[in-house]
Amino acid sequence: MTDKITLAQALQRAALDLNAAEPPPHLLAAVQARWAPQPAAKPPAVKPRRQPWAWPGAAVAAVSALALVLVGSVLLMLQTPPADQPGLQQQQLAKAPRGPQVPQGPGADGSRFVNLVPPERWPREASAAWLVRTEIPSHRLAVLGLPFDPASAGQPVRAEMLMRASGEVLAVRFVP
Amino acid sequence: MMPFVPWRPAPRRTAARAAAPVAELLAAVAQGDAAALAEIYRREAQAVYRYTFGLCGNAGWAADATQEAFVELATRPLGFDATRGSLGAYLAGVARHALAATWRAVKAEDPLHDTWAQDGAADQEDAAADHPHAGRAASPEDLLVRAQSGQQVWAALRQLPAPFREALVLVDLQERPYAEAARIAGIELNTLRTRLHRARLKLAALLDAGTGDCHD
Repeated sequence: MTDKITLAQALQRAALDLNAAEPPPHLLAAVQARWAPQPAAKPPAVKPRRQPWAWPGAAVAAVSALALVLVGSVLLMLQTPPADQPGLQQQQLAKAPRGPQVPQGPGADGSRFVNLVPPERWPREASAAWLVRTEIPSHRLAVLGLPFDPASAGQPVRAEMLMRASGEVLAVRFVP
Repeated sequence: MMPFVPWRPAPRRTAARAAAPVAELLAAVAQGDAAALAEIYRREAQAVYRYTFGLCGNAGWAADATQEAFVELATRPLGFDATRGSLGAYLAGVARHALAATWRAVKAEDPLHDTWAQDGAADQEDAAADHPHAGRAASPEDLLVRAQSGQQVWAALRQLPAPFREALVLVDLQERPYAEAARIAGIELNTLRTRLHRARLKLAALLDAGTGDCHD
């Protein structure tokens, strides 16, 4: 080695030196220790899309509350029958036909009963059904499968319903 | 500095893995494949480490910057865009960023910008201590020659402004293509050429001033 070196020689020497440099042997382990391998990527969770016909939660809650009120009314009327129509339930059901023929209620000025269930679902014994007079919002008629006027959806409608103890409505008629 | 990491056996390297394209390895890394990350490390770590070491002359900083680059790649393997350059250039760029951050924290300035101040004799002593040959087995004759010439070269390199030294390390020492070197340094190609030219002139002058025997 002489004392004289050119720029090219200096760069060559520096390159040789640099190429002899090695990263520390533990460097890969350090990288892997800091890297928490992620499990296989899961597809993004897809939020179930509500069907257009599905009722929102508030509507379901409202219907449930209405059903509870209805059942409560039925139970209350079972304990306290109307004073002006003693024994109406038993009398009405005794007159109720077993079949699609609609029973005629005591109120001659009211409409005829409309069957809401097929005849085979009618109770075989008179004590299994009850006549309930109540007021229902007119839009609830749609739930019973009856037509109603949307313009008067919020107005109550007086009706008599022939019901099972479970709350199932067998027939309905409207009274003035 | 490097945190203590318990030793763990290196994953087995298969022939198929060794020949796998980068995209396939990165996809495997994204799935949590440690062996794929190890393969990428084997391919690229030396060049990244040597680049950062040649740039800063500090083995610890170089190792930290290299580690940061690979951790970044491991955690965000899809952050690498193959259309913008090679994986090696991407890793070197990330390591450069980490190194600059360390440099700023220690010296309260960013030497990778043009305002790099020349280091004094103390840094030259540090450069000698961090010399790549430090700790390597060598004959007494080798040590003598390197003490007389190698340290001179590295001491001169250390006196160059960091942007000039970076151009020399990337092009002359690592023999990277100009375009890749410019991409790593984050500068235009013409800027790289200018820096490289001025770096060679300044290095020659430093060597000439140091020994009186350097000839371009």
